[in-house]
Amino acid sequence: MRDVLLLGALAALCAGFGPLFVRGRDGDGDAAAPAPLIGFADALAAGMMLGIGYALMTWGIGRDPLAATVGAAFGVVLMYWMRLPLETRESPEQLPLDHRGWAVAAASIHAIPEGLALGAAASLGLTIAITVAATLAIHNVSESAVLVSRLHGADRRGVRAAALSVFTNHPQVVFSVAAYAVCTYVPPLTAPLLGLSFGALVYLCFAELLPDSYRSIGRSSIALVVTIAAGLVALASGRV
Amino acid sequence: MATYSVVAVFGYALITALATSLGALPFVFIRTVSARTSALANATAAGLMLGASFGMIVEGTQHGGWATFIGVIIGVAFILVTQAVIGDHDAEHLGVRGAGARRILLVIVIMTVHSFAEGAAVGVSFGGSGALAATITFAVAVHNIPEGLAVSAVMRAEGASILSCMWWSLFSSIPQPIAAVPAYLFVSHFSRALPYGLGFAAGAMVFMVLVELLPEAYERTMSRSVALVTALTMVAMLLIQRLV
Repeated sequence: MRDVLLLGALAALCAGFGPLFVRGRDGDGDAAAPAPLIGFADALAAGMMLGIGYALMTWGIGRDPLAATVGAAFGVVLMYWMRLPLETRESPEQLPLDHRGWAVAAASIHAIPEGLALGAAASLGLTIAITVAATLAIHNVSESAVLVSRLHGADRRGVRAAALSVFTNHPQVVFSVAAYAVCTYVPPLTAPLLGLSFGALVYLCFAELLPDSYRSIGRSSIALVVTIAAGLVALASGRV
Repeated sequence: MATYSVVAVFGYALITALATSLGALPFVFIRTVSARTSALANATAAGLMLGASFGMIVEGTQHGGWATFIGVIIGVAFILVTQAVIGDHDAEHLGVRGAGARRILLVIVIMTVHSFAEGAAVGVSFGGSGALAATITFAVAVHNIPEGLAVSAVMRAEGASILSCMWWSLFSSIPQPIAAVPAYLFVSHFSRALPYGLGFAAGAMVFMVLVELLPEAYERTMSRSVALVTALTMVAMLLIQRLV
């Protein structure tokens, strides 16, 4: 339990580095996260999430195929439903994320399935849990850079921006511990939880990370990063 | 490693090629396919191919982890070289309107070259388990339908007959049975090559999904629809892999 708490907290804390990558963060004018950097970070996180998701789902299906599949389908549909209000338009620049509460709520929603995935993975072993935490940490940096670029005034500055970024990821810590506890004390729920984690992660990957990457950098670069990252993580997971 | 006759491998790969001609069938009833339908067909194919590819990587790691990963890199390099040779004609020439004879030729050439990697994937998968071979054959066959749709859309817009659309769609996938047999023979006679082959096929397929299917789907419809279809199809593919 302590390891899960520590890994979840470390991943969430990494979000505090995101504001460092936002240009013009000290002013009230337009700020922007550097597109290529964010694009590559999103592609890397997407590849790692696909690899991890597959590993989690393979474990889940191995334990209980039906429960894991139902959990995965539920995870996909749940994320679709939860993100629906945020996706009134296709371009993230057009989303109504122009005030703190809305932006923080949007980012926090992401953190829930990510926390579940970490907790479920930790119930399988420490190595895969560390892989998941590293993936979330990379993703959190780029996600918080984008978040901060959408904030205004003092919220965009230094420590306050970093604190706000870390705060939006607190569900990662809470839900990772909760998921780990559920898997530990109610083992029959492990398979559906692993499935749910897979469904939620791949949905986020296809609905957000990859489309954002395609807007930022070229197709071949994304494909290269995602394929190699996914291959490496699948390779590592297959040996766990 | 289970052994299969060359005829069986050729036959299964031929089935995937025949599936390409199914892409012409919608044009019996309609003149054009909506962008959204085409995007969701791409998303379905993407989910199936991603699920199948990860299955190949997992199967490969059982025979050699790093060999599989090196195979993935070689597969990616193969597609990159293919792209460099073909050039940037995909996006320009896969449109459905205003196509000429040269465009049709280019589409068919592009599809045909791509088919080699898919045929190799089918052949290599027969070097693994029977379940893997069945799921890869299924995934590539389903993936071929939207490819046939793309070929037929261009040709139909130029006034080609349905039979002609079906033939040229099939022709674009003829390399699949041709490539599948030597790929299978290679991995079955040199068992050390199996993880490299599985990695190669997986790397090439994942790369193609990410460089072609998904970006084209995102361009044509909302990303949430693409995500929903791709993710659910991937879930279904994983279940099929488990149950087959």
